[in-house]
Amino acid sequence: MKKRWLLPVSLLLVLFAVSGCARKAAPPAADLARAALDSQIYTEEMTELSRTRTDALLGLAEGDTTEAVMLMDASRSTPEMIAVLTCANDTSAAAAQSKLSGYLESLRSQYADYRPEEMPKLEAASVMRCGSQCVLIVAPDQEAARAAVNKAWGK
Amino acid sequence: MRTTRLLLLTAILLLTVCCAAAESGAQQTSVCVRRQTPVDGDWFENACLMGDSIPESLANLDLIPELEIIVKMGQSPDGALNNHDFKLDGNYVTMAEYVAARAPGKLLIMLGSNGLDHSEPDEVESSYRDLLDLLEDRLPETEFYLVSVTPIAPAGTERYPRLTMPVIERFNAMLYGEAERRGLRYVDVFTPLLNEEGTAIDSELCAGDGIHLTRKGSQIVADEIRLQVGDPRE
Repeated sequence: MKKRWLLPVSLLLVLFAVSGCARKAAPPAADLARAALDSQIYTEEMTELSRTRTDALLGLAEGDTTEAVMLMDASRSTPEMIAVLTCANDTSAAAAQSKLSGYLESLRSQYADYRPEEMPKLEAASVMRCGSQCVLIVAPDQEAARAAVNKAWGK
Repeated sequence: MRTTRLLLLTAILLLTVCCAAAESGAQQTSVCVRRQTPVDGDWFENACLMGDSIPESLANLDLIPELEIIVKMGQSPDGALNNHDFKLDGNYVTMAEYVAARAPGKLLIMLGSNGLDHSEPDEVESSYRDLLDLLEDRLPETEFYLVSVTPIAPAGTERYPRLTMPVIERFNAMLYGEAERRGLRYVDVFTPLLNEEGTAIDSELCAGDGIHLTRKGSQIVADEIRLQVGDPRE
């Protein structure tokens, strides 16, 4: 009888441990953004946006996030960017993840005609999530950026 | 005695020439003005800027926070007139219709780079005039400010062979002429971005693509807009 519930519970515990996102406090958004920034050389100068501009670009409302840090090539000659959103709970994080995905799609549609040569960076990009934190990075070396974020998440 | 007369005549002649030059300058100020002091943020409270990705950096860097900036990457004058890519009350409308619906008291237009990069200058100029006709018709109470196209670096022309400095200068001359003809204002952000030789954009002011603006370049554009939009009659 004991064995019936022991197996699924053990599997869940293993999954949580492997994901590295369970019970672990999210790192400060600025630290995570810094790790992504330091992971490589970006094509253009990356500028940290104001909270107001970040909210406007990502369609965030007050209370959607507890922290939001966004850096981008403000010139828009490339789509390179880093966005880190920390939310109060997993439900808010799911909504934030969806907003980042929407923003990524809009970048793809803008750059497809305008600068097709930038599309590989956008195609390689994806929204990452760990617990209450979501990250979107568009970078020349997506793998390096992803590795830096996973390291900061303790994965 | 003769020398004195000669000196007096020369002085009068010089004075006349100077006055004529000053008058000519005064005529220019009705279209293009460089104020001594920039306007403050309140001036932009009911203002709107429509443009392409180049002025987007003004918004990204919060350089004129009070100014509503409506931009679309790759937007040309023709696109602003004809492409239905702005959502308004559940419908897709053109950028011109979207801006008209905002009914701004002041409208700055910063378009042209996109268009000149792939079409004949005549076509782009014609589209720009059509855009102005439409907006002036829809917004009779609005003050219009035609912002020049920014200069480019050789890398920009390598990317878009049609987009050259002479083509941009010709387009800006057209903007100046339209501003004069229609009683609108022209804002010259082209000249302050030039390198010392006046042959291209200063390399510190443009991104690697030779077209978009760095933080420093965007700051110059914002400063020039603040300096040139004020009414000298105020």
